[in-house]
Amino acid sequence: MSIEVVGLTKRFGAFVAIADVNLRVETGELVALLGPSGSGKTTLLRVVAGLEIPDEGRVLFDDEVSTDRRIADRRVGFVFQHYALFRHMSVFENIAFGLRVRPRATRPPDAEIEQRVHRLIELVQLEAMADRLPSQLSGGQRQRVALARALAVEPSVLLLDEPFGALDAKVRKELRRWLRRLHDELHVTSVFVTHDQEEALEAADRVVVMNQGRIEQVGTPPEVYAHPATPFVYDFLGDVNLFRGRIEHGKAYIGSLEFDAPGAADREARIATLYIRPHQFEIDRVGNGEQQFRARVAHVNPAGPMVKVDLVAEWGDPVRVEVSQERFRALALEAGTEVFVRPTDMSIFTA
Amino acid sequence: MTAFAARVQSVCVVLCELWSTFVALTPGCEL
Repeated sequence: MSIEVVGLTKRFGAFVAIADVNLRVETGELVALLGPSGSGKTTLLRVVAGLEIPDEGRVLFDDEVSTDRRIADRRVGFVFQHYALFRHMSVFENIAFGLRVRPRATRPPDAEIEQRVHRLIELVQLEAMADRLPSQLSGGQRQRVALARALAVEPSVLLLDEPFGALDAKVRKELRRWLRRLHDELHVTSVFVTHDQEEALEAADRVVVMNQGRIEQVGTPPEVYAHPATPFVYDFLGDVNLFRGRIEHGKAYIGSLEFDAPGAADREARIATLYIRPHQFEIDRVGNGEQQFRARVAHVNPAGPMVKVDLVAEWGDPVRVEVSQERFRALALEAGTEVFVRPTDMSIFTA
Repeated sequence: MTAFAARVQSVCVVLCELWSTFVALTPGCEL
């Protein structure tokens, strides 16, 4: 089932949580709503679910207006950050809940409920835990139960609000890969909220970046990461170095240093901010005088696949650079080393 | 925010999530 929101606005008193938001999620897509706290992503999800009533705008499921329909009538599966499991019920009973509370006319027979719940328990890989109470499970296992419970009512749409927010980093990573695999298997239209850019970029088909109640950019993970539409998206998705400078006829200037900036070819002289990601630099021990600036190594962190090198540029600003392990060994970098740095790529946003 | 206020807030969030889940799963139930 596709989801479309048109001109959606929601206020809480004087605070505008979402402002004139338009978005379409195609059938079978897995979409991430990504943004900092207070950006409106959870409110948008709750409005889509029917847990909040919008002040303006419409929500359409399969091009049919659903704004006035109740949440249970929308056939929405909702998963929360804190699992929201019924603590007095076993794993089995939690998952069966949505089927057992149906009116007698639409309720499946007990044998069928049992069969469906066991299938879901298998799907979320908790076969040995069916009789346990939520308090006897780990956080990751509880969230899998919550997901199975949401899926039990065969929802047309699955909405997840910070589903991995309460879990530690390792379990988060495992679960988001598992969610991706599960989605590939089930193809239920799904929207999940996260403030973790790595999670959004790894799990989602498309990422919706939100800020202050508005959508900043919608795109596939490579699109939003490699071609951020706004300075906010650039800053929010991954580490970035900001340089205040100016651009003029295909050149960018930071102080007296001059760099090629093909993206600024037709622009007249303007004040600009240059955004350069840590991997978009080349470091050398010897200067060749071409589009380089001098810097001193302040700190080196070699843990991880890339070595993170904190530099102090010749004009005193800190610069974060990432180099491969091989390059790091070849350069023999350590605190205090003098280096020459050349940006290999940059994005420019004028004031 | 005091520790007590933070505790009250987190309990309220959990209760809100539980109630929303109940409503989402129960036909005929309204917010």
